[in-house]
Amino acid sequence: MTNFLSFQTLCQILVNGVLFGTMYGIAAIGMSLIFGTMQIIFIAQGAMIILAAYISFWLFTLLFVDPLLSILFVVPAFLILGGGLYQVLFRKVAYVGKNPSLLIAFGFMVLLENLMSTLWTPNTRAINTSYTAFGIPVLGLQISFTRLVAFVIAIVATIGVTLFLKKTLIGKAVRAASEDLGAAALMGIGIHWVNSITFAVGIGLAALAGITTATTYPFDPYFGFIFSLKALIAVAFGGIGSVGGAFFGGILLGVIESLGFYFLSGVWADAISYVVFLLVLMLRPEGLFSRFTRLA
Amino acid sequence: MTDLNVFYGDAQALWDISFHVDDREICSLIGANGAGKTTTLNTISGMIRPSSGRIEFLGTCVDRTSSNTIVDIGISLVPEGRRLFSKLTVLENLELGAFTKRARPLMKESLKWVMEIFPILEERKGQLAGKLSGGMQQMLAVGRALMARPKLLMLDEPSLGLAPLIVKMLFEVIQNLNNHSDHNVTIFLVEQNVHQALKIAHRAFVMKTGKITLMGKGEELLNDPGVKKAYMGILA
Amino acid sequence: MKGNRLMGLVILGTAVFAGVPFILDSESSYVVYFLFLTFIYIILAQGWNLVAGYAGQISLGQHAFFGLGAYVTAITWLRGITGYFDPLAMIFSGLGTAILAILIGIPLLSKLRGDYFALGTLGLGEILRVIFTQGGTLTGGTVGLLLPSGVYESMKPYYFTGLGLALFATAAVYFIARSRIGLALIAIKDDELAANTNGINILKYKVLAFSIGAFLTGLGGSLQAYYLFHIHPVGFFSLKWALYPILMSIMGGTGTILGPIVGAFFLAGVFELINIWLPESHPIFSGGLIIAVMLFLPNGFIRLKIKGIFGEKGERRRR
Repeated sequence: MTNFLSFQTLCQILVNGVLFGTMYGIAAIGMSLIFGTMQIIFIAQGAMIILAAYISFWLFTLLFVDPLLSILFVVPAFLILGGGLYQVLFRKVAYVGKNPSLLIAFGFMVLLENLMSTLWTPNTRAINTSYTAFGIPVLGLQISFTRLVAFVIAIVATIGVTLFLKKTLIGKAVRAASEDLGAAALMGIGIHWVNSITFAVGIGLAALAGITTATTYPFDPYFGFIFSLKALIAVAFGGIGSVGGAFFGGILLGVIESLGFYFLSGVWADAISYVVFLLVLMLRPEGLFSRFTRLA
Repeated sequence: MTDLNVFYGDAQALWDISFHVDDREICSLIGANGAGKTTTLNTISGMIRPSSGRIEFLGTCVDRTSSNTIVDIGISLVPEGRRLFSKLTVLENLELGAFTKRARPLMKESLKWVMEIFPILEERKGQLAGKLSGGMQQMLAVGRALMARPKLLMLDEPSLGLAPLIVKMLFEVIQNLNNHSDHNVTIFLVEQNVHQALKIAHRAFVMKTGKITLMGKGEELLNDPGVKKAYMGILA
Repeated sequence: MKGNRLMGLVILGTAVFAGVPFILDSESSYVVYFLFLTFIYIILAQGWNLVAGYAGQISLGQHAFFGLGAYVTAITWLRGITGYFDPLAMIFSGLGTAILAILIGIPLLSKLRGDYFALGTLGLGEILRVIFTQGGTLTGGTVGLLLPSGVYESMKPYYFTGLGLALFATAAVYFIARSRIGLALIAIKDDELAANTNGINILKYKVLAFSIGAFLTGLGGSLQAYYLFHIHPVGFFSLKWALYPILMSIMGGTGTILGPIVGAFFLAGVFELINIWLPESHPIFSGGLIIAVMLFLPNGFIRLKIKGIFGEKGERRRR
């Protein structure tokens, strides 16, 4: 705790918050898309992010592949994985009420977290390349290089997804299906097909979030759950169905967290996140995902 | 279709429905609210699965096919209430209409064709579908269905909520679609506006509580006293 | 199942189980240990069953109540308020968790539908875990609390308490299901709006079910605390205590009386088998198992026999 807060420190905190928040943003976009189209709260998104982080970590540690380079392999792999996951896990229960898919997502999260824990031990990991400790002095502030890269990647990804939704026919089909599934079917849009695509995009975004997390933050197998919760909070902030909203919700959360870290010890930070989550849940009377606003 | 039976859960909506629509015809299905007309259309378009009976289209059995495949086969539905994608633009709605494998390569031409039929859609192509007036929405809905290049176009209560002048124009368009030399479309129409529906129809059916009670040529039914009394408010 | 047959079966089962420790040596017998474990599972599963199967609310936060129950027992014992195998301690545990359930349940249940409520309960469990990890000397932090294991004499009290509580839990669900409360719950689960317009206070009944479920779970936690003599956040607030009751209840059949019992036995057996081949892989396996169950057997074993005509006519495929 400090007695006074210099302007410079404040800026530093804010900048850190924004940079870090973009990771929540990407995770949030994924969850927002998945919920928007198929009404599934994919609580295992965080676990998928950590999985990507581990893969990137092992690629680096064993094969010396630079994590940023690994994006080229891991993201496409996760896109395919995402489509496959939908077919295996959710295709059958996507429209049979909300509970089955929630329980499946929950079970999958437990499965994945413990699998990673068993395979790779519960110890925290972090990637340390030649540049991870690098800081760039900008305007008197110290900006972590990797976080800046993460920020840029997140912005590019967000723009990419927005373009995908707005410009491509498939993207428009996703938006259409989010609004009215039955009408979309009447256009010849296969429901499970469009869901697979959406899910794939969501998981692809998780891959990006995971790789950037690996370079900026130490992680362990159980980190994913709170990541999911934070992504949900970000979506709640930004409004469901809006890609830009989810992204900025993430940034907002990052800033709040950054301020919180500064004033309180890190241990309570987790508890505060959970409390914020509960508060957000309760203060939005229809739940997290009430009004459905413009997608992209 | 032959001997079609459709249930909603335990409640039977359609009882042993049988009828056929010939190529290049306009067929109308009329009846009171709740008679089962929308159910019939929804079953044909694959949104509901019948419990028994057959539906055949150009020789293929389609009663258990999913909606999106049925569009590809050549049947398009303009649903009740239009069900446009209100958060997408007019152009985007039309583009999505041509989503099927069959229709996608023809998208550019289809767009041109549809915009010829409904010039106002060209004017408003960048506007959000949700902001259009009722009449324009209906035009967009029909246009969207046409983008799929259907052989059979089904319309569920197209005149609902529209001003009489627009209804007249709409039905003219429907007739023209049917008469068109190159892109002719078979039409199956469900309507509460009995007069218009029977006027343009080659043949028509009357449905009452899930059963077909009357069948015949459009003109005949138009002049049928029973029909006049029941559906057109004309006494004797 | 008809009431009388059901009761007869339960009484018979209880009598058989009651006799086991007299036939087998309770200290060394694996069967006794296995049954004891299963009894705790049954208590938890019935607790969840009441909330989900009868009140229709999916709770992902039972581990909150389990852990809290354990800690209440441990703390009151260490402070000298209660003793070893003290019924008072158990009552405190149960009441504590029930009160928590009411406090949290009212805001959550009044505002949140279905899966949002589930998420809320999940968050609750996690909050409790963090709180107890940070609790300083009161809760022992990450190491947890150690209870004087010297007082351990025999497995028998554990076994019989477990049996008794499992019976109690089952009876509780049974009698509640048949009571006015049960009727209200069924109405709520079936059609909430209709129930509301008929004057049923939805919130009251949902919270009631939630808190009774929590009460039972707290009792289970208390018993486990007495058994293990070491209470720590990681083990007692582990998500497995949230997942296992769900799994057992659904596998056996939620909304039935015997379902959770069947599920508990089955799963306990499966877990023990897995422990032989792949030790410590329970959570992985159970995660996968719940997926499989939801995909292939969502109605549970019990209902396999009762299934009538499969598939309704003219069912809507998709809307």
